[in-house]
Amino acid sequence: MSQPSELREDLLRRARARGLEIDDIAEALEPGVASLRARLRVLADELRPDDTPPPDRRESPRSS
Amino acid sequence: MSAAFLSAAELARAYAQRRLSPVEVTREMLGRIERLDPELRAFITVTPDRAMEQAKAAEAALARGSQHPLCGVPVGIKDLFDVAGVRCTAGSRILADHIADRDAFVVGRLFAAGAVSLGKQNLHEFAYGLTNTNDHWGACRNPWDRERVSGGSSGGAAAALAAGLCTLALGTDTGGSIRIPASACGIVGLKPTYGMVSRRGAFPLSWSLDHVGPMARTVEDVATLFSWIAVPDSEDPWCVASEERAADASADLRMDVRGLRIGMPGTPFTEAIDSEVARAIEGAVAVLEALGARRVALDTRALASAYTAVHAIVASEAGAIHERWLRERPQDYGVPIRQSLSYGFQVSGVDYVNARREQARAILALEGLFEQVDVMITATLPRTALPIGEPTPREPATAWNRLVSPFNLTGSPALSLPCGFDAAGLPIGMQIVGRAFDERTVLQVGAAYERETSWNQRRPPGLDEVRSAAVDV
Repeated sequence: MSQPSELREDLLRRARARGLEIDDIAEALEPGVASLRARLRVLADELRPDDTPPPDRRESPRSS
Repeated sequence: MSAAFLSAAELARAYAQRRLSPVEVTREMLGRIERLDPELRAFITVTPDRAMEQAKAAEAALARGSQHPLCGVPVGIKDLFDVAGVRCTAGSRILADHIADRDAFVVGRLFAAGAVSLGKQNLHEFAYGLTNTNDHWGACRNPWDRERVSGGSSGGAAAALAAGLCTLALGTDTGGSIRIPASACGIVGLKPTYGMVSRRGAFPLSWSLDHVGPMARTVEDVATLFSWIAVPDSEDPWCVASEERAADASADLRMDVRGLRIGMPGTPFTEAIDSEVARAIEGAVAVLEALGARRVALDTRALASAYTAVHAIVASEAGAIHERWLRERPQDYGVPIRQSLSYGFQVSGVDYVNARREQARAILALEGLFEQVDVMITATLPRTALPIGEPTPREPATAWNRLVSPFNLTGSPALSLPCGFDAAGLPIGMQIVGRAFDERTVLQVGAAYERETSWNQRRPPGLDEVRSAAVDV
């Protein structure tokens, strides 16, 4: 196992804050989480203030 | 006369003409499962007694004059749909002993039609994975090459259909889980428009992306099953089905495709596609062009972040579903799904909301593209079935489900059907995507292509059974 990186420490800290133990998989998670976070940062920069989540696409039978 | 590879439509005709009976067909299917499934692992729980009871009831219904196209048809049910009185594991150890007390909505629809359930089919653990390599219930093997994955998560359904162990099946699709195994096993699967089929009684993976849909060996059978299950469910507030929409779905199955505009996407749907897959898709589009459809190039760059948004949404919502079990019973999860679920705790609330905002952008972008075309065609998978044990990357450039998951984000109807085989004899699938609620055109194009080709008539080698050419059904 390689030396814990700053990212891995962060993964472990976040998991432990919720009572989860991920010590055995944290190293394997590290590259994927780093990539996902980086892509989500790019996405955040692309979004404009008027980009909203989807409107209710569901025509609920309860509302008809 | 073997019924193993007859379609539901062919079975219905054979029943009507008294050339086959549900009891003998069910008996044959159960025999095949007993003989072939120890290797394939397409089923987690086989229910032979219940199947024979339902077959006898169907036989009685037919004798009374039932003409329902699903009456007496053997079906498989993904083991995350509840069937009252039957174990529902969701492919997990966590729920290994869970007995459902009520039928899922779609299961109830099947039973109301007189369909015969053979049992509960294998899936990737909690439906969170692309291969159906299940640590608890065995890796579901691909009938075309037993050293390859069936694809997942609805792998048991696809493998069973390919091997002639059932005639119809129910699957779910959150990031490609109907279309991936359909493509890998050479069968047909439809992910309907988001909300068109009730999800009540199906164990969830991600509420914003989960879809329930039909799987079969022909487009006609998929359309028949879709039309029967895509009806309103007042107990599922997400369900937007209507009787009219469901009835419409099969309306154009026999129509030609003259004048239809077929969208050919660019980035991110064209990079790093296996050359044999790319050739098969090109050949399929050429078939449709020969039938009178027109090809239109599309700029699909607006969907470039769709895969990332899907990953963030699934991980977050699945993490919410599983958090308590992950805390209390982590040892009962397979390592791969623990890793998948752990992503959810590394995505912030802001990231999740941004992914949902990207969902809205993707829906609007796709609506714009569908002003230019009637359907869009892509490969379903960039590569054919993977060897069992090969890792499945989560990067947008290399992920096995990168061509299918964008349409979970947009909620669009998307059909996968066979369009060729590679040099190793593995099936290649074509994905046909349509406008929201336009299953009708998607199925029309799929049926037109299927009529012109014979890919769905091929059978996996080594099953000791072939369709009898002498039987005219």
